[in-house]
Amino acid sequence: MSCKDIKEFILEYPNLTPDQIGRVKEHVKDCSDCSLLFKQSKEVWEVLDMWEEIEPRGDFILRFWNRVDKERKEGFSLVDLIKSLKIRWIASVALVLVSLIAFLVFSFFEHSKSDVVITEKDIEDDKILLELENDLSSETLDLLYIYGLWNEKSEGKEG
Amino acid sequence: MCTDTDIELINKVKSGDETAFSELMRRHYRGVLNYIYRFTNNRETSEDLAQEVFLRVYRSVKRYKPDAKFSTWLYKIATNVCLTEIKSKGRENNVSLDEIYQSTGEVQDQSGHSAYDVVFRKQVKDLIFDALRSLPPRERMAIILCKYEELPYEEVAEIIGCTPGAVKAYVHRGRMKLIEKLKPYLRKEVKGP
Repeated sequence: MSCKDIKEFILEYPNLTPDQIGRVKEHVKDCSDCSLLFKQSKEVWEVLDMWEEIEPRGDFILRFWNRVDKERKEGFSLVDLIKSLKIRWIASVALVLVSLIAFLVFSFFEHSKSDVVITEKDIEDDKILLELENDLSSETLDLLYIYGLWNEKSEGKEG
Repeated sequence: MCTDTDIELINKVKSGDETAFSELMRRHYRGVLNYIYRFTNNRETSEDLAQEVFLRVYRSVKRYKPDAKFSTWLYKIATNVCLTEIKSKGRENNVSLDEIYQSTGEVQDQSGHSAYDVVFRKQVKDLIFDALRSLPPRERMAIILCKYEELPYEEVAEIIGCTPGAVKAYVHRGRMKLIEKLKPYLRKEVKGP
């Protein structure tokens, strides 16, 4: 067997059949690299066993049910409500998104409404602008009355 | 002693039998606790997270379909809880491999002194934890599940979400890396005269 095949067996140790163990032992007699790998791989696996297990605390079941009771007493959260309505998660996400958009739109309009404060100066400015507009309009009308439309005038000249 | 299978107990839980769930916890709590412990190296955190795992199982027990073994489903949830914990905690409780090496020396140097034993065991535990933590998550999970939980490749594959062949590759790669990490602590080759 090649070193590659033996290496695969070595890394499976100790979960090997007696036949596979025999082949590994036979191979490592004459192969120093595989022999070293076998020794180290076996030892590392044994070192891992030195990390001992821990025992659960005796009251773990009691603590668990206390935690469940506590959650029940705290009542339904929105998540629980959605769960209890058996809405699929896509519907839940859609619901949350629609709520979010509605909230943002509402708060935007609320915000823009509340921000508009009309002062007396604004009213005066508006009046000035209106007067200016009226003046410009009357001036334009006068000019039109005197000279006519630009197109008519230029066409007339050319003609 | 309850002789019901896990699936029978689950069906009882689905119909509202809480004692059946207590029995399921009695059967699997130790395994889940120790599985988490290999990820956290902290007893208190492991107890809390094990409770969290069973809470998640209890909440979603109605959705459980007996296509896979109950323990597979349970370890899948435990794995998710562990990964979330690892991500949120980052590299807390960091113990440097070099530090341990300098303070402990080689594994073969242990004496029979009891006080030394306590310190030694703690340091070996930290050393193994540190070596395992240095592995990529899948290699780490595969080794913990195969070595400590003694699960077959097929079941580990279902838990991790890959093929049994991939699990084997993870274990082999992880084992090679552990050899490199723990090499300074292994017994030295005794040379002949």
